[in-house]
Amino acid sequence: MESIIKFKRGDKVKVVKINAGKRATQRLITMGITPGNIVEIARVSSLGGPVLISYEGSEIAIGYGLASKIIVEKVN
Amino acid sequence: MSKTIILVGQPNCGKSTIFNYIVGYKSIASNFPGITVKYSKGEVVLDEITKETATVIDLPGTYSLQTTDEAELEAVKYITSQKEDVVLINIIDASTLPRSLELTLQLIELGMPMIVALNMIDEAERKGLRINDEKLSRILNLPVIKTVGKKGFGVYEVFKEAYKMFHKGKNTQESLKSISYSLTIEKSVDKIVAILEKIKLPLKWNYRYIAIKILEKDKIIGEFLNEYLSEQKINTNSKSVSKKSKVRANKITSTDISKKLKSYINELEKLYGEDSSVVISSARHSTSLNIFEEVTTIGKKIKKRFQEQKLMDVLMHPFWGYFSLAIILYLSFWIIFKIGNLLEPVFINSTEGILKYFASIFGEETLLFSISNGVVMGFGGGIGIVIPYLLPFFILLSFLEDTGYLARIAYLTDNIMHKIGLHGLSIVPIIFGYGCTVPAILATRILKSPRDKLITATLATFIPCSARMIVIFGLVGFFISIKAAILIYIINIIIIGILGKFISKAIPEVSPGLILEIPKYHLPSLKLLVSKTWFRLKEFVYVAIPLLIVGSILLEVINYFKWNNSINNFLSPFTVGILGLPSVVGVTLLFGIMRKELALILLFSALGTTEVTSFMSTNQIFTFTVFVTFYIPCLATFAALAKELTMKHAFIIMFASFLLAMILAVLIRFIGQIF
Repeated sequence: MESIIKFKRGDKVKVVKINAGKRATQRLITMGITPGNIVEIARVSSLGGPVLISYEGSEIAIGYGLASKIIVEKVN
Repeated sequence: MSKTIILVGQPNCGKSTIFNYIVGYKSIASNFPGITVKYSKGEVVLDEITKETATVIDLPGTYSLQTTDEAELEAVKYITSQKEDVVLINIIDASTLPRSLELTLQLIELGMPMIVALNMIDEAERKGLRINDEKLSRILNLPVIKTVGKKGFGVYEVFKEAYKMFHKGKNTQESLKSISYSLTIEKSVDKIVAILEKIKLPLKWNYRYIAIKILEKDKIIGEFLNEYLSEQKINTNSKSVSKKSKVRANKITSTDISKKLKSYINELEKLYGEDSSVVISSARHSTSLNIFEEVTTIGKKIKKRFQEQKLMDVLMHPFWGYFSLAIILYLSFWIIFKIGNLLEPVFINSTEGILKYFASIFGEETLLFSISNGVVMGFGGGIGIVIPYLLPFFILLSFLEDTGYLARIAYLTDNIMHKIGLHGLSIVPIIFGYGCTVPAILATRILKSPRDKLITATLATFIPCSARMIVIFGLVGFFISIKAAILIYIINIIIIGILGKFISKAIPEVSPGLILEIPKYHLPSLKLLVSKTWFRLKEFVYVAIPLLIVGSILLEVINYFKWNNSINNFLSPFTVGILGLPSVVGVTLLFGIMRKELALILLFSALGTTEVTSFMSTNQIFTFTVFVTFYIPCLATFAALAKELTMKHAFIIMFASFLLAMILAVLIRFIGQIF
């Protein structure tokens, strides 16, 4: 269990917990970044920029700060 | 009563495309989330024979009814404030069905007549998703119609269905019953509904919706409820004293109700170990997922073409992404100004032709000629900005938007712009500001939050546009040195950086951080490109051209009555006293408000020579140029600011820029004296 920013490009991870505020958490849930869901890391952050996450075919850019609050675990 | 059809959907669902298809050249459609911050309105003929029409409203895209930003809040407020004769059309991007259904579920909870349009069905099928629309319709108890907005497929059927709904009515209770969550949540909902029934809350929305929103700790519903409860208190208090005991009883009930509601929320939170709003969101998410699994069969995915995948990779690459961004921005810039430079002389020549004609009618030294001169110059000046610069700019901007590249720019530049308290997309207006401030300010429309818009527009006004470049290079570059001219650009960037930091500190950020959907690449449709460009041009022309005409008439009249000297004298305490410049610059600064490069041309004519150095010292030239670079934005910019922000903001920026220019000029005046 680690923050999503620790993973490599192409890793498939399962969302465990979101430690962000209520608003951000709700928005993430709406976009499919929900505890229990499996998402793929499409691009890691470069120079502290956003992380790109792919879920069910849509790609979502998440700011570095917020992404660091998403706790996930690797699935094989 | 007039009939209203509201289009609701998540960003990038193709809502505006359908709106455009049905209403015509009256709205804009786009790829970037939240581009339609201002909602669009139009009319549709429902019945060809009776000519019955309905108003169609295109609301800003919203991911859910639980709002996280202002544009969404406006959309939700609009939907929930409707009462009668309204049909909602919920447009869904079929290729992201599970996510899209979450909004649909919430709309169903509202209990309003609704149709679901399964849009971009071709895209979904390319992804290998086969959606059983009949089954979905049965589950949701709503009409579901497959559409492809870009091609118009199924769009008329949706509106035909809306017509049926207006006339036959629809038992919304049926679809209300179709959605249920876990037993524990349903129990809490039932308990809250029971309370709402007991206090006889006026039925603005249906009780189930209110109950769920209470559990979600929704702001709008919370305020509505509190207002109602406190009103009840006041009403009972105003009754005669003899009923005092009853008053007390009522008071207790009011606070009791809040307490009871809170206890239900706490119960749920304890059970799930999470905030109740998150509990509901998660429940809705899993319900959507279940429905999605029930109605979809996953077939074979049509593989993305190799080139498309390659392109995607390059454009977002940590190195090549920036490289291509720089090239794309540079090319866009180059194209716009190449076209502008080619076209501008055509307009200048034609205005000169018209002026000669007027001169032959009125005679050159008449007041009438001066006024007509003002009209022609103002109109010509406006058209001279609009056609050569704005037209190519808007076509390009729409192209970048519609292909989906704009969202990639936001992704790439997010961390750089964060340093001055902004987000990635703000780079676009700032870059274009080096060409012309007017399109730069109009481009702030691509920013979703009003705060980002305000800060970016303010900063963009200070970027030296091409007209200011003429002054900088024509004066400082020519009479001092190119290095000195570049120094002005450097000073400018430093000031903008400081200003950005300062303003973003003053208006703190409320958004939770970047969460941005990166839309798929699309080939833009020509029809949409044209209608969007036309829509944007039209808006600007209406505001700017009258302003430019009035302004230039005024200046011509000043010229005619030879008020130049009195104006110079009037301004001399400022120009001579504070800035330490020769008093003849007074009029040039005034005219410079019309168009910044006029300041240079008029300086030559006021001095009677292009040998500026014989009248002004190096330091004075530098001071003058810095002042012209920063002071009051030109009239067309002012019009753009008033249009994109508000008149008040435009005045504040004008005043602030004047103050800033003065401070900088004075600083340079005295620093220069030391050397």
